[in-house]
Amino acid sequence: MILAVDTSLGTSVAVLDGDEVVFAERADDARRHAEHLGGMLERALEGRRDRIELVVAGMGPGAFTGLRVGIAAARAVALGLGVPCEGVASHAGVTQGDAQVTTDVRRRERAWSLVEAGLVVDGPHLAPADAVPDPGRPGLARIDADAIDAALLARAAARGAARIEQALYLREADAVASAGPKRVSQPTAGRS
Amino acid sequence: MSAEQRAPVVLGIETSCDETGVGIVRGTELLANRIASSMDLHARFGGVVPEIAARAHLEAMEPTIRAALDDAGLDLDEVDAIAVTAGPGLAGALMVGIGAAKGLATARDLPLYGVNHLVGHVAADVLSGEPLELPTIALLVSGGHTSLLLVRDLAGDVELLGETIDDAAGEAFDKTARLLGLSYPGGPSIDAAAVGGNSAAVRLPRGLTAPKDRERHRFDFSFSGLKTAVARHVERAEAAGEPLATADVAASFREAVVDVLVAKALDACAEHGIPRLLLGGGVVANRRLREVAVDRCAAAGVALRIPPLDLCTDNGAMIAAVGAMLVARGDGPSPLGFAAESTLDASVVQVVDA
Ligand SMILES: [Zn+2]
Repeated sequence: MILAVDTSLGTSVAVLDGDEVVFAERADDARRHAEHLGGMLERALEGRRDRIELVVAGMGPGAFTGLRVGIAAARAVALGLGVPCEGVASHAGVTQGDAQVTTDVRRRERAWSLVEAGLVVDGPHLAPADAVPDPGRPGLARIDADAIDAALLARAAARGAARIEQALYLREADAVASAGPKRVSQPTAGRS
Repeated sequence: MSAEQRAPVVLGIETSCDETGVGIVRGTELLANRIASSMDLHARFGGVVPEIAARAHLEAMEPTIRAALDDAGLDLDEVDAIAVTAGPGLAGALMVGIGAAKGLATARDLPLYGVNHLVGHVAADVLSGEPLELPTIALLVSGGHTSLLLVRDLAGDVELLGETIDDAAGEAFDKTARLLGLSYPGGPSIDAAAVGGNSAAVRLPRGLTAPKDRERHRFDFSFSGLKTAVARHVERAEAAGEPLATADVAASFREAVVDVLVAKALDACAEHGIPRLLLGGGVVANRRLREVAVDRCAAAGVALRIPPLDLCTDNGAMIAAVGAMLVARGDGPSPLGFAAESTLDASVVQVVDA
């Protein structure tokens, strides 16, 4: 059995047994990932703890704070069960077919990937929300996804999806090196 | 061994600021206390950058849990409960610890306790080998918080007497170090720069100690005026083309911070008739704070407790200690739906709302 967890958009947890999805829960709430995840994991694992062989984490892209909750939880579940944890690109959790998948990553930008037969083959890339490039594949559907299905991530992992080691932030952390102290006193006359 | 004979083994996870802490205790016995700090990553920004801290927590979490288990010589099946900091702290940082704690607890089917970081600083003292005497006043000073607590019972009667209304004391050290061209973190660099300095050389304000502040802010702290006064002093020296007497400024600044911290803590001891003061938080590493606290507590007849330094800085063992206390009392776990609460009140020892 494979347990998959994704919190890149909402919160999604699924368990795949062979080809069958035996557990799937989703909360399409772009916040409260840490709250939703506890109960979902408990229900996903109940009666299956001894049978999970692999934990799959959706590594993003997504809003950073939420994304990290699922990755931290997936890694800890794997540690707790004594099984490996594998990260896969979250865009694999949108379709089993072929598509250009895009998701909202805030700040008027979207992340996009090319997905073939449910596996990410190119991306994720970042683009302005109103200027996501056309991949130049006539007939290829574009899917602007609002949710990730963890069961599809489990399937992707089972089918050899590329392993992603670190969260796919796509952006550097917001931080500005200090530019020196600000003045607090009025410059004295003649010396400004 | 029967359940009654065996104190609970609790693994505690702390990620409220820039330290990824994982500790393991058996009752009040310390078994492991692993801390991975992202401090170096923040150095060029002169202060903790929340997103950088949260990213570092995510990468450090699993190796730190493994290292703590190794140190304790335990397997996960020997752990009886998990505890995690629910707040107060940086929301994004807290959520990494909570995510990991929920994952570990559900995988092992263990009870999970979401606990208060400030109470953890007080509980750290039970791991030092001597019983914690209550009631006590606790002064908790770090880069993230400056709080004065009245602790009557660790498991349910903790009152916040006062806290900083602007910068935390550790933050004031960091910001002032920048003003003086000293490195981050500011505590150690100001301590080093103050060597040989005259702490009475520069007159600096003591925030919220004027008679008019006694009514509303008797036990609160304010350090932003102090930082501004240092900035003015530096600018005045520059404008006059005089060399800055860095040692004197550093010593005077440090004395002003330490003076207010210890004076307010002892005022709380006197006001509540409690002859005990406990120090906690990373700023306790400041030698001058410890010296002044020792001297003035002795003069006031107040017994001073300072846990070992690696239990004073943010750490997972202190969180595990709170968890062990709750388990020992027979308290139930937190609901699995609990959230990170960046402003969690000191009186809430354990979160019980989903
Ligand atoms: Zn702290």
